[in-house]
Amino acid sequence: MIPHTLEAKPRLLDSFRLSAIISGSIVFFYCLAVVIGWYCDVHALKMLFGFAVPFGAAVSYMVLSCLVLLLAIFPDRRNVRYFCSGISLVAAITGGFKLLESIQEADWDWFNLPLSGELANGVILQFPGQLTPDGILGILLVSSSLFLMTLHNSRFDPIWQILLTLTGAVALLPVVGFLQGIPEFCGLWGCIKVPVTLAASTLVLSFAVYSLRPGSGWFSLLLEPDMLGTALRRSLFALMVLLPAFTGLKAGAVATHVIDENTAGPALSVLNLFAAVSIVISQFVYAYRREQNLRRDTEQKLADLSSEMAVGTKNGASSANLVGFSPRFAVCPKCSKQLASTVTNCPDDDSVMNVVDKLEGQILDGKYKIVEYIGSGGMSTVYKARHIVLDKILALKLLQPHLLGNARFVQRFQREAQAMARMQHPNLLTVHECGFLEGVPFLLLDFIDGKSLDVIIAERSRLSVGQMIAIIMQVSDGLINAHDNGVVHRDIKPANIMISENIKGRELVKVVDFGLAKMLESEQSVIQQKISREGNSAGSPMYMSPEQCVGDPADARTDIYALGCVMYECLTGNPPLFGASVLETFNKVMNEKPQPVSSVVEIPQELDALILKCLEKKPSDRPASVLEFRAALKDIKDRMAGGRRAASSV
Amino acid sequence: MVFRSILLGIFFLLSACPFAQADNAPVAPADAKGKVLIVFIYDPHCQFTCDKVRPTVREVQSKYAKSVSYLEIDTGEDHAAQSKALAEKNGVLWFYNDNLKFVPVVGFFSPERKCIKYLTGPKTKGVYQAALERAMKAK
Repeated sequence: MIPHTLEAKPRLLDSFRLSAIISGSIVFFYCLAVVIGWYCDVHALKMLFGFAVPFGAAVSYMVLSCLVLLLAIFPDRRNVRYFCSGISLVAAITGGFKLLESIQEADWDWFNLPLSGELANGVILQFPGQLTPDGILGILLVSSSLFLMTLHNSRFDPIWQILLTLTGAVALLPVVGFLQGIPEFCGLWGCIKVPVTLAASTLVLSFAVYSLRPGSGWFSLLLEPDMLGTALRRSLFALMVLLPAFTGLKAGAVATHVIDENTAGPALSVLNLFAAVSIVISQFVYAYRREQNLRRDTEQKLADLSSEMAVGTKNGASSANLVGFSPRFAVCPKCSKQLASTVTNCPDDDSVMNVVDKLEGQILDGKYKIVEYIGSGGMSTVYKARHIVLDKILALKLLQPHLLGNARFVQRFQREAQAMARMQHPNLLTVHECGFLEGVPFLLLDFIDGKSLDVIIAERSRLSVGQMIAIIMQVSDGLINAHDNGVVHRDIKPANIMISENIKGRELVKVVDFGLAKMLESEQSVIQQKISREGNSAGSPMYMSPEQCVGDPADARTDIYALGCVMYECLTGNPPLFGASVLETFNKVMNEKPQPVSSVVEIPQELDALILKCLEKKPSDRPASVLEFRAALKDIKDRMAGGRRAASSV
Repeated sequence: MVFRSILLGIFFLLSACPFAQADNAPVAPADAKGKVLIVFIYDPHCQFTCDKVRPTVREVQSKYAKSVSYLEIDTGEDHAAQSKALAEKNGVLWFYNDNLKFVPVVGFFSPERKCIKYLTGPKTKGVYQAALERAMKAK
């Protein structure tokens, strides 16, 4: 039995957090040693690894690495985030002041904070004290990036990522220079020997800050399972191995007098550069080839299955008619021109187009007769179909033909079938069959003769508390079953809640569209990472949880957030947070608290509190499971019923 | 401010270019004992900024030439041993070791060789003047 509180197991994201902890620790302990060196006047520590770091820079980097560690260890603690925001803002202001001071060629002694008494040599250690330009820039850029990152505002994501990329690129220069045997750089204020360890610390800190939010911005490219992500990951890894290895080999060859550094050095550096470029190119070529093979394999598989299907249905006359599958199109009654079904008038003679559907009236697999077209979305077209033998009405869902070339959509379609096949519950749509029809994947599902919740809300403006609870209780039952089977829906919204009547005439609610569902069990993890693209945003913006907005992993509490949104909309007629654009909606979801429902309509206080609890930004502040949420909702329902009974008896 | 930033940018670019050496022959005091000491640490490759600092510091020192000694230490690898010996002789070896990577640095020492103030990077004449006056007042 899988517990209700489903914990996602994001391998890539967890490894990034771990790397942030390791990177932060490296910088912290290095800077700690340097700071101790300055306090105790131990030259070996001040010049650890042969490179000096100014006291103020060491203190700043130690503080910044502490913040990175705190954020990596306690990613969900809002207080920790606020604390880190404040400290990094102070550090950024300090860096800004020091930069201004340097530009002015001034000495603002009032800005320095003494951190020690007078040492034996008369020096008083001060923060920030005397800093070199690389130290000032490092502090300013890293702390500014960290500050903006901790704001968790998607509008600032490009800014902090650009700042951090700039920081990393500038810091990379002396590090690569040193590895290539160029320890001196002339420029920047007369800094002749760039302290490589400080540059390396800046580089490592930049990487650590990136690793804290790997799901956002361009860094998420590294998590992509596709060609680009694979090539980027492999190239970076290869370069990280190649550069130090090459430097080691070169140093060894020079030390053993196999080569002379002065004569062979430049040639070796060019060779190293050539090797690095070759590695990057080869990784991209390899990844491209792999993607092509995957696509070819998928197409072959589709073709094979299509042939099998054709053989299996050769007795059905309908099969032959479906060759060149294009189920729905518009035909001009005058010139017989065939165009997309969305075209209403013929572009040549302006006649009103007739929509023709090849599937209507056809019998598939000798069992399913297509009754009528229901509708289509971005990914699929849905038809009403009748099981001839059982005389049962079903829904036939077909993948849009233009998506056939994209293996990812085909896999996502199959994933929906797999997710639904795991679950059997009256409040969930049942999948009866899946397969390929002339190479096009299809699903046979329950047909619901009813309306979606968004249509009902639009018709009635808003629902009563009792109506809302009745619907949400059934949705919760369906979700409990899904979560118990290790499936998170990730796209709960009124349009995906269908309401019909059961045979007893009672309201029957079904949760539909598991197209974005995520399976959490280990055997699915690889497939899932390839298809749902861990770390990427998926869902409908107005019902997406903050963790979905930033690309963090979804779990059962993601569906609970969406349930909160649906309840809110049922009672008020509007989702809790929405803006004029997707970006604005994301921003509101990330940063704004919704108004209580009670500010719009009168509802029980406990229900108001429960809805707001579901809409908490932090998953840990929401109900831990749908089971817990349902119990709370049932209590409210019972209390309301009790109150009504008491009122009527009085 | 914008003009200054542009100048600074040009200066960054120019500082990478080799320039003809100015009058930067090392200066060592004949007898610095009992006097306030200014130590200027530079690198021969750091032509732009170091050459900018040198005349300013020399000018400031020249005002108090009788009571203030002036020492220039070259951190170039060719003169490492010589520079180390010079720093040691004047009781500022620790200062040389700590700052040889942060040139240009100017240190202001009391007659007892306590570091009253040190400044990294180029500063205005007024800043050097104030630091020297502080060192002269220090007991």
